[in-house]
Amino acid sequence: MRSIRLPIAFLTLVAGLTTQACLADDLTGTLKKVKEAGLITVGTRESSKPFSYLDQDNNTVGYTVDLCNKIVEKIRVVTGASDLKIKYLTTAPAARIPLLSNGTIDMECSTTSITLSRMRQVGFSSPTFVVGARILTKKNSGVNDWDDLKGKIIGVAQGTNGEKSVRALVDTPAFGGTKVITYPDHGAGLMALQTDRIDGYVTDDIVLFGVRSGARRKDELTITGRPLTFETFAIVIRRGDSDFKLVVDTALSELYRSGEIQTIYKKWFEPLEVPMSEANAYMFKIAGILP
Amino acid sequence: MNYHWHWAILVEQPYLSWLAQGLVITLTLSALAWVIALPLGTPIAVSRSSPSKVLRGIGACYVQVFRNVPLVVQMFLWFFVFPELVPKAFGFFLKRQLPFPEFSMGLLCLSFYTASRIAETVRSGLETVGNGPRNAALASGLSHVKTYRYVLLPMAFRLVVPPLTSEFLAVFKNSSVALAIGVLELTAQARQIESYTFQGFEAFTAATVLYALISWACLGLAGLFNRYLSNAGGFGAAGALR
Repeated sequence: MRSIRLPIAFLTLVAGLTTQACLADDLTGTLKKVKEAGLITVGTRESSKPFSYLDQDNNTVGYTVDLCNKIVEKIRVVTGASDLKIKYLTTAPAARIPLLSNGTIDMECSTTSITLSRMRQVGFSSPTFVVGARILTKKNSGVNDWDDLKGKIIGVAQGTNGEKSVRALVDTPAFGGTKVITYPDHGAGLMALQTDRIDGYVTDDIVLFGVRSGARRKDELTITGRPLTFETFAIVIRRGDSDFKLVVDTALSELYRSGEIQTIYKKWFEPLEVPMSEANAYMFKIAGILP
Repeated sequence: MNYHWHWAILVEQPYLSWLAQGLVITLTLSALAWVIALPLGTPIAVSRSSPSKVLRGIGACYVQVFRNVPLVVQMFLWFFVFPELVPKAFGFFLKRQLPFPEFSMGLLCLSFYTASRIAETVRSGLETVGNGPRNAALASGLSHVKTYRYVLLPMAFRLVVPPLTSEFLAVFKNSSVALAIGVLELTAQARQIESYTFQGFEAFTAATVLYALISWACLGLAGLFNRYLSNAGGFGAAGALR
């Protein structure tokens, strides 16, 4: 028995090496670049909890960062560069595109959502997370859903899809007299809500959970309403690099299909008391594309 | 560089109208702030150079407070803290009923800040004029108010037109700080375009060019004004002959 197994194992190994060597020869774009450099640089955020942030010991951690680490493992296998190193670079949102364009970072792992108008500039991986715009309000405000905001003042995060949808909603006749105010950051929006400047603050639910957990007097705040929009986060890569995109999507799809995603999800979202939304459960099933 | 240029974004809707709206807000906010700040800053400059110790103290306090606190902090204080300090009913009005709350509070903040800078500029003019004309005016029987109105301020303003021009240009650029409280002026709109399309270079280039054009237009205006006020030549000579 032993004498048969060994040659088979040997053959498999040779076959494996040859395939990888072949692949390595015609590597293109980002795959070629990172193999030659022996280093892949991942753009991350300073404080996009729990997706991509610096923890107390200044390590880059988070849900999306975990996904990216898995992707890099896949890249090591595909390129045959088993010693490929990861470098995290904290990147401000306004700097992500220039840094991706000039090759400083190779992928951005944070909370960037997929939109068609952005696709003219960059490429996106499969979705990594689905969010919906919901309402953060005071428990005693009597606001339970969108209809309760008729004639009230709604705060929204500036430049989000939530803003567009809320404006579209408010333009309907039933919402006559409703005011919309935009805030450039969530801190300002939270302050406006707590000082009764607005009746509800609208942005992605997962962000609202984070805002609430960081708020003073958080017990008086609640997140309510059915999702008004759906928005999908994804990893940002350079546009037109289809070989790299295939590797990234394969890694994600394997994570989703194997159920490993459940462990990662629990690790980051259970402490925040965010249950897995229906939308996310379906997304993991849909994006877990068959091999 | 793997950047996909797309200049046409600047003439596409809704981005073109976003830029246009931003430009209008920037121009209105800055021009109104200047119109408020100039008459506010001048009496403060006068009080800082006046013989009364109390007035000098008040002027100094104003300038120290508004010039030394960073503008963005002042924006937050006006917008978020001020309505909490005033009586509740007035606070409620500021927070919920004031039309264009961000714009109004941003305008107030920018005006007070600019007034402190104008005050210092005008005071430097008053100091350059020196005590000679003041003593001469007082000796010829003018009151303190009339001394300032007819002798000191006209001389001082003539001297400080160039530094005032710098302040005038600065207002337009300082107005961009109002984006921190949600005023959708030019810079905020450029940021918004970047966030929607990822065509940041195009959006910020457009904003830069617009700011530069505003500055050049203001320089042209200030140049005309300077010639008008000047004692030697320009419109001044014609005026003097009349």
